[in-house]
Amino acid sequence: MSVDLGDLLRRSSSGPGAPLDPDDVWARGRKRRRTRLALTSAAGVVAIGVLAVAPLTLLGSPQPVVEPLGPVEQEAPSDPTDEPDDSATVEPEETETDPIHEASPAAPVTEDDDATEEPGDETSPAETEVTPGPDPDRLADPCAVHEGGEMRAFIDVVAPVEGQEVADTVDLVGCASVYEATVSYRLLDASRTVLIEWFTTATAGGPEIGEFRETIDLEGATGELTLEVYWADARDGSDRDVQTVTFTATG
Amino acid sequence: MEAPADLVAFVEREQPRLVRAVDLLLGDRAVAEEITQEALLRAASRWEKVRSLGSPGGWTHRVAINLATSQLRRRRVERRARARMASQDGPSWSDAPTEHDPEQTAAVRRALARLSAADRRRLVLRHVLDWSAEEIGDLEGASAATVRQRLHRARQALRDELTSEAPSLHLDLDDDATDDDPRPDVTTTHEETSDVR
Repeated sequence: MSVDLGDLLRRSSSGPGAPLDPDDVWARGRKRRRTRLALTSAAGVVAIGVLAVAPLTLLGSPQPVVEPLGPVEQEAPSDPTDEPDDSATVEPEETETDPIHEASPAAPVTEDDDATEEPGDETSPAETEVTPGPDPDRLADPCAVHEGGEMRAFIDVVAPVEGQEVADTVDLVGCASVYEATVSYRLLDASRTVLIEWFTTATAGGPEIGEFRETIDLEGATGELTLEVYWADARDGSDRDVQTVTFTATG
Repeated sequence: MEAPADLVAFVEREQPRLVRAVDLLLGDRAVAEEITQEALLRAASRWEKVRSLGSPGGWTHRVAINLATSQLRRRRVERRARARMASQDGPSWSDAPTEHDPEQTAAVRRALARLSAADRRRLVLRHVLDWSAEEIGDLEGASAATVRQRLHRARQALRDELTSEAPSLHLDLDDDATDDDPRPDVTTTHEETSDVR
């Protein structure tokens, strides 16, 4: 008896399940979206505030750069179909934990940002900062842009960024989908001497994606330093997906 | 709150397919229904973006497949814990309610349960959710040719298991010739680690 495999598999499932009410799915989805936007707004404000106020503090300016946030409800539209769809690259998410942010580094102005930034902030002194720094949106949720990147090993380092200046510690932040959630790193000085070789753990291991955050004590090292971030292949222990960032430590 | 018409059609179309697919991956319809609901909720919560994608169904399938993968990982941990406590019982693959020939259904489910999770996933994606080899390759980080090889092996493994499980059924599975690639699998780089993980 010749059998179509698809038919056989479908017949062997235990049925289509109880039908869902689309209106209920819609209502619950809307509620979840509002929650996500509220969380995102709060995280974005903290990050923007820190980046904007820090240079002003150094310059002694008495003026705040970013207006205090209004209530997050102001940006939750009653009719979602009116919202601008500014992300053409939405991809699936994979973890049980809902990502709280959907911002893309390529499109920093998102529906969330629209609601949290006052008009006229374009002249913020924060923009005159010459030292490169991590994208605050990416710092807030390093894995937001990797929804759908599961089942493929990768490491994405969000911080530090190339050319960044740090003092005596450096924050390593990123997103990864790696074996056993183990993100390895080594710190090298300008002569390629390994100063530190250690690892940190992402919040989830492959095939899921998870973020990692680690503050690395530079142990007095100064000058141009290189951080190599990678994962060790389970088969032969070789370094995979090595991400290299060079930054400057002022001590 | 009334759902947009396209979401209504989407939920009505995808829900039964997803429940079947996840059930075949996990052998547990109750969990399959929960995962399906979660995947559809996630799609609804960002429907303005998901609806504009080339394949909203594909997006939601991936969410469901990944949730199912997480569920499998948890089960592996649970199984190890049960083994330590000298008890057993995993998800029941053979006593699920059936719509068709119970003997055949039980045999197929037992055979599926004996496959690796990765092979089961490939077969379900290809033959239940109608993904192409290219789409599966995108998910696994492998070339379409590699996926065809893996699908060929997965079908062969299922055939072997079925022969051992239910020789009296004499099932001759139609092979999807377009999936078969007789070339040796030479593109095994780190994509194979997705099976290992």
